[in-house]
Amino acid sequence: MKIRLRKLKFKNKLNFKPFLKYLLLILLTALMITLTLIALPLTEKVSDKVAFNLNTKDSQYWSKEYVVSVGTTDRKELQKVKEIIYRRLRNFGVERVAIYTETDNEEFSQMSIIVNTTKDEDLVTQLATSRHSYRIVTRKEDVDFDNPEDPYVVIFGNNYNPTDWDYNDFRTIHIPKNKLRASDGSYRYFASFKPKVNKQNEFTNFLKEHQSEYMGVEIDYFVTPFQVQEISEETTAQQTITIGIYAETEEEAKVISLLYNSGNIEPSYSSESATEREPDIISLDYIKVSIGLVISLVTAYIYLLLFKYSTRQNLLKSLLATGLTIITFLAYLKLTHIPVDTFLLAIQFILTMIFVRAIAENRDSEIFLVIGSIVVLAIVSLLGTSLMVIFAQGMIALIVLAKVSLLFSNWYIDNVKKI
Amino acid sequence: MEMFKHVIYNWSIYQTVALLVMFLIILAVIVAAVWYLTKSKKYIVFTITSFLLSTLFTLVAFLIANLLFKVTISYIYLLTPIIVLTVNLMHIGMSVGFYTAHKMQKNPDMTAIRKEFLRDSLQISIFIVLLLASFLIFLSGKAFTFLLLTGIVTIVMTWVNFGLVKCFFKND
Repeated sequence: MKIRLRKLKFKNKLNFKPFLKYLLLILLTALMITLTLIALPLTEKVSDKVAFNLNTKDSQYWSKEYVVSVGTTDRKELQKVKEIIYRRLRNFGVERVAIYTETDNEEFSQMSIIVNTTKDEDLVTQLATSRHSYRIVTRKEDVDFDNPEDPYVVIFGNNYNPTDWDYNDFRTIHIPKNKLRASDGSYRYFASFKPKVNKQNEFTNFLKEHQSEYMGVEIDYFVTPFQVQEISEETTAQQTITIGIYAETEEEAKVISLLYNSGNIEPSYSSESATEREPDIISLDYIKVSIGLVISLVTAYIYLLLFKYSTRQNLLKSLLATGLTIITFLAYLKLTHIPVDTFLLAIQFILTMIFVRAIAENRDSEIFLVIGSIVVLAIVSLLGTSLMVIFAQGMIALIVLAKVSLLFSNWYIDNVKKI
Repeated sequence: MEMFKHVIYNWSIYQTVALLVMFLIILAVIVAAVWYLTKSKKYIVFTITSFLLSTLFTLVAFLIANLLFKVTISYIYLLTPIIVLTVNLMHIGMSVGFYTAHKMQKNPDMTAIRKEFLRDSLQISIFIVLLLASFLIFLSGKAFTFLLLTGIVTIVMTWVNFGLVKCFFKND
């Protein structure tokens, strides 16, 4: 028996598009409400399951004054030392550095390094107070390096002879970001000493003369030993020295890289004292800032609406875009626990409000404003100092978010009106 | 003047040179972008004058605050030039679009450009005044002084720009 199924025909074709659009609008509205609740202050106290507190840097700041003695009174040399210390600290991300010099007597000067930062204290101390002057050394023949009663014989500089190779002969000390496998199977960070181009051949010959020998890199009197690899006579490859460094984390490896590559302090350099100071920061109450921002935004828009500076539609779109930008950014910061300066955040939000208003009102200048602002802030983040860098990086993220939010607001309001 | 002495004696050369190079590169990039869009020498001269005046007014504001009101110009005031620069860029950028849209006309109407600039200047000033006024109530001390000074310089620069537009953009 054949079974025939009748084709079902609908009089009118079902259109799923509006239905899907309504569903999407509902989901997006729910998402916006969720983001708003996460971004609002004090809502983090509602849930114990998910932690979304705003991680402010205010309580993480610490301040210290390091006083160091520098073995020179020559202004140019002192300036050079200042440059090196400043470059080390700036490249590590120390928020504020102030360096003062004073000539003590005919031979020595005192340098005061004041830092205000949230970075690791031990690492900052290392950067500010270490001379980190290095040279290649060879073992003294009359010293017993295999003496089991003196295990520390390998690390003291007085057990080694200096060579002609020091910091003046190497163009860079490269420390890869990832740990590499050591001969004992463990993973550790390594430093690769790359000689200057004009000294490459000489260095290769030097290593060939000392192949399979135990030598060392002396840094401020302490030596890191290494064994020179065997180098075949026919090899034309340029040789380098690679030593393991004492660093467990990526930050520690970065500090060592900065110590090697920020320049070399020629005169003697020793730490005299380190005094705790009260951190000099501007901290704002997060709740007051939020209330202030909301009041200021609403006031400004009510004024613009009452005095008809723009159409209602335009004001609504830019208000929604501003709100969306700020709550998305805040929600992201809260969920990822990225530490922030509350004061900088407040200024960034005020500028974002002005920016959104500018691009919403001047559609023909939008591309120039977005790209121009991003390029300018990118330059500031590359060349600026301390707070400028943090400020510029935050602003770039907010500008991109603002542009996307404005596009979304336009689409959202247009579609909500059609319901 | 203590402010300048501090910069000369205590800032590192790297810091000073990096900041100077930063401002020069920013000026070059903005001038290049404005030239690319407007192809107008008047606009280039207007842009350069505006940015140089913003630098000058920022320094004068720091001096007045330091000498007359005994305000200590601390590290946070390094942000003032960046904020003033950003708002200045937005202000000039807002007029660039309008100018670009109208430059293809046989006789571009400078009056329309001046009116548009006046409208933008009013909007920016009112917006900044309202935003800052509502926000400053919740601040005190260093934060209050910093934002007030920066806000004043920004608003002054907005109207200086309008003055420059009236000088540079006249109907032939």
